[in-house]
Amino acid sequence: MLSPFHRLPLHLDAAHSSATESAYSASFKLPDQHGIFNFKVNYKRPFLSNIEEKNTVSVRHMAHDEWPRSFVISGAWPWIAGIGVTVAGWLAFCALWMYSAPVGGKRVESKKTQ
Amino acid sequence: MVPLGLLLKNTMADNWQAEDSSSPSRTPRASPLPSSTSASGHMTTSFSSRPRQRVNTSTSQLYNIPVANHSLGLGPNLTPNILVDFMNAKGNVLVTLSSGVATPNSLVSLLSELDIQLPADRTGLVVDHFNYDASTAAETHDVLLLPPPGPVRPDVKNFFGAGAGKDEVLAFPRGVGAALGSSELLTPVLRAPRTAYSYNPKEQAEVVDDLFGAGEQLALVSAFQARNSARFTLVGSAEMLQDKWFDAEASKVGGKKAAKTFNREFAKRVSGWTFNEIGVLRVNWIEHHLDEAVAVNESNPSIYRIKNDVVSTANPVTS
Repeated sequence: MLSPFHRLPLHLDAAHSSATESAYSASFKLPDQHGIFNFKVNYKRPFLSNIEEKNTVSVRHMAHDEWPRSFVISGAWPWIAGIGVTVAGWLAFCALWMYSAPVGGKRVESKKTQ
Repeated sequence: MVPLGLLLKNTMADNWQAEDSSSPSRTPRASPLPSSTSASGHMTTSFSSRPRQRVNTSTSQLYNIPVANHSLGLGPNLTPNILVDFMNAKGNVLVTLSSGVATPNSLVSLLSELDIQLPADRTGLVVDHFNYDASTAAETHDVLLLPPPGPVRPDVKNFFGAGAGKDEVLAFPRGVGAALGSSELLTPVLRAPRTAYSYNPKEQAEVVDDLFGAGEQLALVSAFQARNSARFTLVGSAEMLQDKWFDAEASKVGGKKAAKTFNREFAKRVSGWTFNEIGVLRVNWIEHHLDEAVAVNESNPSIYRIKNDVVSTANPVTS
């Protein structure tokens, strides 16, 4: 058997237990490794029959939209700020260009020479 | 005449029969057991001095049969390999021995497969000069009176000795002590007290110098549970399971008054444990699911993502 990633005791789960039967559970975080994993219960005690149960699950990688979003990453804030400043600056320039009077009031008349 | 008994009980098809000896030699890998486990009757096999007599009953009484004093084997159909195959098919076996009767060779080799050592043929009798029953064995000191056993470990329930009265004792008359190997599957149920030892009654010397075992090395009742939970129990004294010792009054040497014996309850516990009535765990369901806040949380999904929080629950039940 491969060495296990997690080796955990199961604790009595009162929510699923009743007077005649009891449930034991463990909650854990899956390891940072994709692959095929087994949840194994391997319980051997003297005078009790042996319990060996195995559930097999696949563990996949993060999907493209499950990574933390960039606005959540604090190290990206300077760049996001830079993008924001660039956009804002461009819009301010456009506004300034469109809504400002042309330079020089007199029109230079072009002489038509014949 | 001291009885010697062998009791097999399985939950396989009713018509399990060992192959008869039409095969010329014992083929070691011949397995007479049917491969399906559909029916759920049980079958009791007992051996007697007439070979190949098989008694099929559907009761679960312990079958003690007096045997003649000449050494006899278990017959050609109960080789150690067949018994090991029986246990591999989840059959349970309860074996009793007695110090006056020779143990068949096939049984000795079966026991050595399970890492239980017995003293050489008919040379083991457990004797205790401090804990014997003064009313029946005042001269021979071979009826031991023991306190009922405690739990084998602090976190395991006391299966075999629980509920004993304050003064109740276990009588162990004329039995054989076994030495257990260090297998993880073997557990002694009842150990000899520290003042007991195993001696060869035929030896006439005054001083016993080479002992098979002494004190708590001797396991008077030992239990073996295979990895597939098949159970095998060796009871060193067949007489302790006799009716006569179930409710006897035994007075320990040096004790003031007679004490009642715990043998009936102990016999029930030992046979109950061996034949899967006591101490059997069964898992009803195992469920795992994602422990994060999602809209749909299906039970036992076949795929997870790395670093998910998962809750896994198992429901073991004592049946």
